[in-house]
Amino acid sequence: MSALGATSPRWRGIATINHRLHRQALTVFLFIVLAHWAEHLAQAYQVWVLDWPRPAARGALGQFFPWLSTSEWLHYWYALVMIVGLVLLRPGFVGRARVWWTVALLIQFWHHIEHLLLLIQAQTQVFFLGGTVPTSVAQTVFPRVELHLFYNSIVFIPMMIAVYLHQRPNERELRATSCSCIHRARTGRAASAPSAPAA
Amino acid sequence: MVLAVGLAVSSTQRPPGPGRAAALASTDPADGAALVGAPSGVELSFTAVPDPDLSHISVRDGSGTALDAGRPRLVQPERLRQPIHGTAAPPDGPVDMTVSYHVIFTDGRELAGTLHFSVGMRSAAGPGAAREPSTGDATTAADAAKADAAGNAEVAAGPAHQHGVDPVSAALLAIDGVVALAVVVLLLLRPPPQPSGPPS
Repeated sequence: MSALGATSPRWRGIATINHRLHRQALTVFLFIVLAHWAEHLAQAYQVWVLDWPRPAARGALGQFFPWLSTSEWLHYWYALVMIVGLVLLRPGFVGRARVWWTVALLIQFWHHIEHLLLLIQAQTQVFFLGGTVPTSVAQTVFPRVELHLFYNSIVFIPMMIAVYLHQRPNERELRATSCSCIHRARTGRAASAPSAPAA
Repeated sequence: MVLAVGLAVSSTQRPPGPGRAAALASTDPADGAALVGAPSGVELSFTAVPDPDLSHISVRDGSGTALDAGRPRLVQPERLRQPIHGTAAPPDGPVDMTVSYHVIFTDGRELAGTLHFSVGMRSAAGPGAAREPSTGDATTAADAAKADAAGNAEVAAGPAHQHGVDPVSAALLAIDGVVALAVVVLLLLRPPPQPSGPPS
């Protein structure tokens, strides 16, 4: 196995999703990310086009399950799911794509810390940073920002760059990787065909 | 496709309508009350269930000093309590207190208004008014009073209670859309990498 950016998987499951099933795992992860964005876009459409009051603009699923758009716990768990996905799928990336994927991971880790700070303040009613309501670090700089939307936005950009570079590697990166995303392009075989790990 | 479904669903839905209009049922202290000593909090009862996380209540004395202590909380299903710092009537006369509230109910409706009471045995200024938010321009005195009440309360609320379009979020959403579109276009325009040797 090439040493460029690749690791020796410790567990069989992580090895599988970063080699033979990397494309499928990445597709599932990106579907979750994009579905989440679709909800935010639906919310934006409801506010800016349909002129709904913001508390009523709960996205598509939120119209039937209002707690989806207002639950701080749900936002926290989504941040956690994002971290887990970014960590588990990172070994399959190499070169420049791995750099950008790591950038997304670091930002998302801080995002998770911010939500944890909000949760702690909400549960204990002890407010940090001189606030009278639960306040995050970012909100001391951008008082009006919606924290959840802000951090998901700045994680999304490096993630998309990583996905693009992973799908369009240079020669060096192409030799270094062995996941099903690139292997399919390299051999022209179907993604479902089993692939041997690169030497 | 997910986005298209979401937009289609949104277009067929309507925001929660008035139905039974939400209104202020009672307050403690009552509007226009003259109290000997300062209360420990202000309680507002409504005809619908308020969402304490999205609502805010501002209490200020005659000098404009904010007296609210912490966030409002539900003490009964339709009753909000806003704790306030103690204030003593100055030796030269009573203190007029202004309570501004902007309440979001769990069904999405909202209500804003003001009320007044005094501490120190002199009656407060005129009665407050609770109004449903209007959908038209705020050209009447009633709309201006509602907007002022909402503004006073919103100042005290901080980042937890926002109205209108947040420019930072809007800009980031637009940038994300551009990035996603650019990635899709580049993937379509640039062919996948070709093997440089025989397949392994």
